[in-house]
Amino acid sequence: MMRWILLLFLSPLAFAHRPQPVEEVTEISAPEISHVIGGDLVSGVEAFRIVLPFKEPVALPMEILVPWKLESHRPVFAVVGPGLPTPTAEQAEFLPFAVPEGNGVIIERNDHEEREVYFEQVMRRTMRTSGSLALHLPAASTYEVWIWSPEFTVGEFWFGFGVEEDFSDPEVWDPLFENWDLFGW
Amino acid sequence: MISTLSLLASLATAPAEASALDADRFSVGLPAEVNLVGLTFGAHPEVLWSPFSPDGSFQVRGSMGLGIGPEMVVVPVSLGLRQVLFPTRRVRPGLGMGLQMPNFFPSGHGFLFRVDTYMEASLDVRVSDTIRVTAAMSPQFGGIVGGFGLGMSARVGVQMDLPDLLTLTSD
Amino acid sequence: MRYSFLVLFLFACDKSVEQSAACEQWVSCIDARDQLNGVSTNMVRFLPIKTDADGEIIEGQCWGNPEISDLCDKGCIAGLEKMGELYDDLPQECQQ
Repeated sequence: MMRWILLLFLSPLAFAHRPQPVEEVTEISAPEISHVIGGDLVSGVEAFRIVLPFKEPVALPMEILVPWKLESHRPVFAVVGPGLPTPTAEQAEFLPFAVPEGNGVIIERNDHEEREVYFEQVMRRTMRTSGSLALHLPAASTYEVWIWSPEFTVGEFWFGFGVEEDFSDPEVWDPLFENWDLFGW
Repeated sequence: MISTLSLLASLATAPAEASALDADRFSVGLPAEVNLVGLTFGAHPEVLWSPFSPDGSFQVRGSMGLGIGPEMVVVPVSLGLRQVLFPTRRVRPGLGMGLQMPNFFPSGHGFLFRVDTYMEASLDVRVSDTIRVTAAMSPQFGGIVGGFGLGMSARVGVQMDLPDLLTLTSD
Repeated sequence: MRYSFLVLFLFACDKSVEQSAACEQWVSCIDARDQLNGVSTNMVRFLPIKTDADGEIIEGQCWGNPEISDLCDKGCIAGLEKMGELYDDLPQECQQ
């Protein structure tokens, strides 16, 4: 029923990120549109790759969130691609994959002692966020975001990026209903 | 919509008639409520006023509830209208709409005020001379005041006319 | 009834806010880096809000409503700080 209500009335007006479930490698076809990529670290050792093929250099905000109740769950993300700083030896050790030759990395360690509690009003979820971080990706190229849990904590996470909304294709809502346990409750 | 507004306007401008405020124009509902967008469980008691006819075909609905969930507490306060179809029958479907302030108290977060619109599809069944069992689904859309958001409530409960309730409590 | 809801939401959507000081600096900073590197970065979302004839936001999507503007403002503050940590040779526009 919710699907029809959304499609009939509200999808063009929603201030929300386009939902998508994470896969081992998640290809985002329109990275200039804001997305929220939801996933679940089941064993704590998983590492996910999100592929963002940008046609031009971009600057946009990113953040990673977890359910409010998971106080010690602090998944991190790293943005990997051309024009970013070369990883130090310590960073290379920290990362779940080797940084390809010619690429650099920016790591968001999600290590603020006090994380902001964010109430997501569309789906009514209470979350803890790493905090929004605007990043400059200075090449027209494919960047990757790697998400993992360095402390091997388990639980759900949502990686959000961008602000531009586009819900003109009603099918973009399908992942929300198909993964209600991930984006709902 | 226009007819609804006309009804509201006539309601607001009509001189108060004693009969419109008689006890038999009021019903009280006590439904349990589950919020399916943002999970909460609770109750959402409601008072229904039938200003034009005691048969309860057109009702003004005022309600205040409490929902508790793993990530928040909500205290919804609603004011709206409900049109009950076939008011004299045992099984009565209804449609309603109105405003609802969900009043969020998210865990670890400050109070959040929002005014939503709600719609509702209801069904009540008379199970005895004095009691009806009611069920309703109510989607909500936030953004009149506060940020955009959604809501979806499912309610099941009992409803009694006020005179019957007063009789019951005085017995 | 459907259209009454749309009207209500159209009113609700007119909540634009001004570009924040942090994002104004963020834009200047990226601009200065672009000039040094000879590239042009798409950062329309951080620019002051601009709408077309139909009222559609074509620049400054960050400032269309208070919730997104908060996300962008905090992002710009953290982004400038992160820049300072990552790069030694930042243009003056990026200095905090």
